[in-house]
Amino acid sequence: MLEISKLEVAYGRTQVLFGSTLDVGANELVALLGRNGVGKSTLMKATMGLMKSFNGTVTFEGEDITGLSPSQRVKRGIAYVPQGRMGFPQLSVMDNMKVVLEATSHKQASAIDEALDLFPRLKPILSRDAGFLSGGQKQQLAIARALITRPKLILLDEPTEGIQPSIIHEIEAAIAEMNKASGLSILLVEQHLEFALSIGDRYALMEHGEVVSSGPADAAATATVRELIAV
Amino acid sequence: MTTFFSQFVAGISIGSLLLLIALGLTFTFGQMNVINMAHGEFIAAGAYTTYVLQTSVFAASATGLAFVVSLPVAFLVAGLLGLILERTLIHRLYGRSLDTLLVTWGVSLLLQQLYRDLFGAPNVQVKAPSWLEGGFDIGSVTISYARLFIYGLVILSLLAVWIFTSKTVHGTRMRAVVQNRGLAEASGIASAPVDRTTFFIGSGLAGIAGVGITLLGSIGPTLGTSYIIDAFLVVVCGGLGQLRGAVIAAFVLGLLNSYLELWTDASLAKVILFALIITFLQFRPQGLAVQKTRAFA
Repeated sequence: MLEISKLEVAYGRTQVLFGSTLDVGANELVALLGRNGVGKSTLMKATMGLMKSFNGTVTFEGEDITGLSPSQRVKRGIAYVPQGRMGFPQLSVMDNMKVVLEATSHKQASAIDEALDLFPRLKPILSRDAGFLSGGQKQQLAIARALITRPKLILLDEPTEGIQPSIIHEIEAAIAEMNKASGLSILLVEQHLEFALSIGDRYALMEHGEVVSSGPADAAATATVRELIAV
Repeated sequence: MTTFFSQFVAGISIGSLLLLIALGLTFTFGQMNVINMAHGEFIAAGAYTTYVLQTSVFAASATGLAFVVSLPVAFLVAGLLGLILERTLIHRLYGRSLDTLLVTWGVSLLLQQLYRDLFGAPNVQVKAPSWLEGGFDIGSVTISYARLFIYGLVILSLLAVWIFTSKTVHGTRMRAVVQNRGLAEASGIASAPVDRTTFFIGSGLAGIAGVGITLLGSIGPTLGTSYIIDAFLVVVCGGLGQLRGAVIAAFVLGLLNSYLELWTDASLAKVILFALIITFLQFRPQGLAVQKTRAFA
């Protein structure tokens, strides 16, 4: 479904990705592992088109999307939940979702209802400005917003980082539901190794801007992989 | 007491005019961080639109009609000028505010020369519609109908801007792009068309202000330059992109200006006003109105 091939990306003169290659199949959940600063987030941004690659290609459902803008990639069926619980702080929770819905081509209001069913905590606070939400609520809103585009593939960058434990479980359950029940493909960057590997079909391990190994998720539980991820 | 009241009326008048000019800037400067020095020339474009409609398009007997028609036409003319500027230059400069200042200053000089070539260097006069001549008295203070018309124009423009930004789909989209451009793009909201519309509306509002200004005196190629700095001050003091702040700042500046002029002369009043603004911004660099929010880290 998603094929990233030999992608090279740089921030100014500092190259971060040195030919990363990765693929995510239909219905598959791939856990992207690696220490801080190896390029996991950059790989996601480049997949989304938020960073320009100077070499390599990104292919989605057989189409080369390397030159497309982020919003065009969303139209193709890719959604992105960036690190850090981002949102539109001065729009209400409802407007955060509506503004995304109105930019989609399907424009089905039921997409909002479905997202709210997945995150019922958002229901009582629809009129509150998103800037006033707690971290957990912001993250749930961020995932809800991504789902409203009715994506085929969703990129989740550390969705549970810095979230209170009680809500982490809800987010993890939602990720499982998205993948197992709704059949979404997911590329997941996640520090909670146990969770990432228990839910993931495959793992991909990054080091120094390259994917150095990948395989079935249960194989990642081996000592070598653990050692490479340990901080 | 009478002078106090008459200065109050004068201050409100200055304030409403400042607000009318600053409204457009709350879009281009407040929302998009573009320091458009050519905004003043967009005001002049609106004023000249009124002049052209009166002298060349409508019959001499229809000055009133020409004036009313010039409101939407001036919005379109100034808006289109803004759109051309955005498409050719500004869109390459997003995130580089100081560069937009230099580039648009050049555009401002070009437009001033263009107006000289088209309409001549001397000022020209726009005839006020007959129904705006005269005025009415409150005590010993006379308020002209022309001033009253400008108050009405400000209130209507303000209302339209508020409805647009807070109630329409496009307004919400605009706010989303302003609040987080990258996230908006990554959520499927293409930012380029939003930028175009925002800039079009901001520039169009300058045209409307230009029509209002024709009621206050003759118009010339450098009409805009005399208003533009004060209008930027309103936006900065009000808090970038904050409508409420701009309203308060415009009237506070207008009233201060008016009372300071009463107390001393016009140029010293300006100096004191600038000194006050600089002091104010030392203590509150974010301006009067600030959107309170928990940090989106």
